[in-house]
Amino acid sequence: MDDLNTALSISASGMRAQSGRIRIVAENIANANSTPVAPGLEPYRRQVPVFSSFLDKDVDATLVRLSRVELDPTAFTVRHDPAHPAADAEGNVLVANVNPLIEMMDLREAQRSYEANLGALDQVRSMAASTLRILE
Amino acid sequence: MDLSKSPLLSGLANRLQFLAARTSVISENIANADTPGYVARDLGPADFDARIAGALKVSDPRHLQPGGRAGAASAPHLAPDGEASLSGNQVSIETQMMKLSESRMGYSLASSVYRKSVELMRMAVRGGR
Repeated sequence: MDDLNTALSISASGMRAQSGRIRIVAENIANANSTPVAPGLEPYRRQVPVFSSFLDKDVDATLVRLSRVELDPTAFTVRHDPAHPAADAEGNVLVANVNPLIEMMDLREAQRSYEANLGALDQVRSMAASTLRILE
Repeated sequence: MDLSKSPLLSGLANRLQFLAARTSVISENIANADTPGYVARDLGPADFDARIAGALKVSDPRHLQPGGRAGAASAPHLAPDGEASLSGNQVSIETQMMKLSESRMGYSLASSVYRKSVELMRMAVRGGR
């Protein structure tokens, strides 16, 4: 039963990491059209979640966590919009370097991984239930 | 009466223990399915050669013998799923889910057999009623 409890906390860590990733992807999608408030400033920069595995001594297993969130160094999109308050002398506005298609793919991948963890959790739970049925 | 002395029950208990340990290794793989550089691991039954090698190393009677448990859990070994992503991650969720359901089926089989044999014992105690 100890191993099963460990498996439960491992799956929980996977779900926690994936939901953190979904939160960051949601932030990116929400800011896909963000522009700076004044010329010369930077718009929203896309965030990239980075996972890492670590040994949790408490449960004695390799868990996963969202270790850090990095900023995407790619160039900002330039849009020609002279009427915009943040437009420079040529009438160009910098827009966040977020590609909604890539974000949707990332979201789908996170969802798939989350479901896999949920499936693992469900299977472990049914194993624990079958152990408890021995007592009946 | 010591139930753990019965070869059937202790064998089944070891099997359950091994499958639970394997499930936790597989859960680790699934949790780390998107971690860069992570390689899937698996828990196989203790292999025969390793056990023989361990047994031969005993040069002093006070050395501890490796336990002769059936299907005793050895340390997890690397078992890459064959496909590596650009980040160097080598976990295929499909394969892991398959292994997981495999070990769940084995677990429910072993626990049902355990339950049935306890029931047999109970029947004997009650005198066949």
